[in-house]
Amino acid sequence: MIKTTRGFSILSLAAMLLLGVLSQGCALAPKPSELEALEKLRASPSAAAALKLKNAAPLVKSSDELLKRSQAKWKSSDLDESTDAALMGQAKLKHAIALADQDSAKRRIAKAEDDLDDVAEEQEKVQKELDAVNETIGLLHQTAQAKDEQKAMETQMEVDKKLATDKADTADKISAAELALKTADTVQASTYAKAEYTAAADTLARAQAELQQGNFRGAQMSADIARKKADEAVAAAQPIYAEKTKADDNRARADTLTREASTIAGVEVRRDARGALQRIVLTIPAEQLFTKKQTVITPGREAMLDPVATLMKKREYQNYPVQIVGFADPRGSSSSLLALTLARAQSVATALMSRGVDSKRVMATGQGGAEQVASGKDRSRNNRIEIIFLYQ
Amino acid sequence: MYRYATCFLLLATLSIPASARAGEADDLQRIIEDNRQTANDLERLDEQKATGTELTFLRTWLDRAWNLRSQEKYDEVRVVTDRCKAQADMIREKITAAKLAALAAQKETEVARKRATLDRTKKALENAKVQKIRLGGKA
Repeated sequence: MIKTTRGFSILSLAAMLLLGVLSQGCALAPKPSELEALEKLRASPSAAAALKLKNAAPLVKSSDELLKRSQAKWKSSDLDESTDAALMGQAKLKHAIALADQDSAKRRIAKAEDDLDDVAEEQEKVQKELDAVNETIGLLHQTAQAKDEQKAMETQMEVDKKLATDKADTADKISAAELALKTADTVQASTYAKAEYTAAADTLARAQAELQQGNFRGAQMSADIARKKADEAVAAAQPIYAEKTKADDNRARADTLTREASTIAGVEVRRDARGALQRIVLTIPAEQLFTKKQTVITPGREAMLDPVATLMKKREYQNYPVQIVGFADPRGSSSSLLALTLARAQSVATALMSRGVDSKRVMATGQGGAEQVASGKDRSRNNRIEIIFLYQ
Repeated sequence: MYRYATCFLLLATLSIPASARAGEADDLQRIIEDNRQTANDLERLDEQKATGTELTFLRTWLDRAWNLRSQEKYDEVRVVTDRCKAQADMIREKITAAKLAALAAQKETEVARKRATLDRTKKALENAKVQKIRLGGKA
């Protein structure tokens, strides 16, 4: 029994060794890397794409046959032939993939060219539209520019107009000031209101200078001030001037009156003053009008009053109040002398009024023996009638 | 006489394989050289340098073919030269594919450039329209 078991064990061991040797002999050699590369390439999407391509498909199929052959040769441990077939298969498959790549590239080129055409067409359209819009913008710009220019022109015109108005206003104001200054000249303000006149003249000169410089506002203000100063000068000078003029007129008139009175025969003329009152005194000796102690003008002698009346009635002298004063030789009672002289004065006044002299101008008084003009043997000269023109 | 004829036939029979082998060697040499020239031409054609590895393999295989030829392993040489021819054909197509791909890329770049120009023009048009409206023009 033991022998049988031992014998069985030896046989089993021998069988196992034989199987081991056999299995060792039947094991596959490692797969060539070329075959692995071909299998990997065949499994790629590029190979699948190539298979769909008409001119590449035969190459893929040829490669597939070479792949099968390579695998078969590998399995039969003919590694050199397996490698050769794999390399040839790779060349065929890569060729097919290259054709597929060409096809793909051609399609990309075609698409790109189509795109280029489309883009060019759209570009042309958009560019045309842009050109049109830009042209419109250009026109709008020109319009806007024209409007701006017109506006600027209008503004400039307004400015010019305002400038002209300002200039005219300034010239007017300066003219007004010049006129005021001339008016001041007429009342001799340069003499009677020197400070105001000088200020007005200086300010006017400044206004004229400012006008020349184009400073219209300043010129207007200066002109206004100059006019105001000139008006002030006029206001200040006018009363003085009027008074002076009146005095001058009166003096001139008095001179004329004196001259004219001097031409009257039998009349002595003199001028004097009593305070502010000026007097032209026409002295007529009493004996030329009256006989001794008489108060009525001796008939035939009134004629000498004619030129006096004519003189008094002259328009130039109509405003002169006239005082007719009788004087007498102081010998005798003063009351009788006063009566005598008054009566004589009234007689002369009456005679003059009867010759057309306004009674309102005439005032007769008797002074008696006052204001003697002579003494001694010439005492009779004190008997006299004085016709006194009064003025200021 | 018969003996001479027999000898002649024997010599002729022996000499035919030798001359045929010499002719095959020359033919294979021509094929290998043609392939080498083809490899040089392909290298010049490959402006994109897309087939550097494949050309290296081709030259390696041509060297191997030459060695096999020298060892008079003509059948193996033919296997290798056939593969070289297939490789050269593949390289030629691959070069063409690379050129076409480059051209496609160039055209796509041009498309992109033109599109960019178009986009700029469109933008300019939009701006111009806005400006036109601002200046009082109709939309």
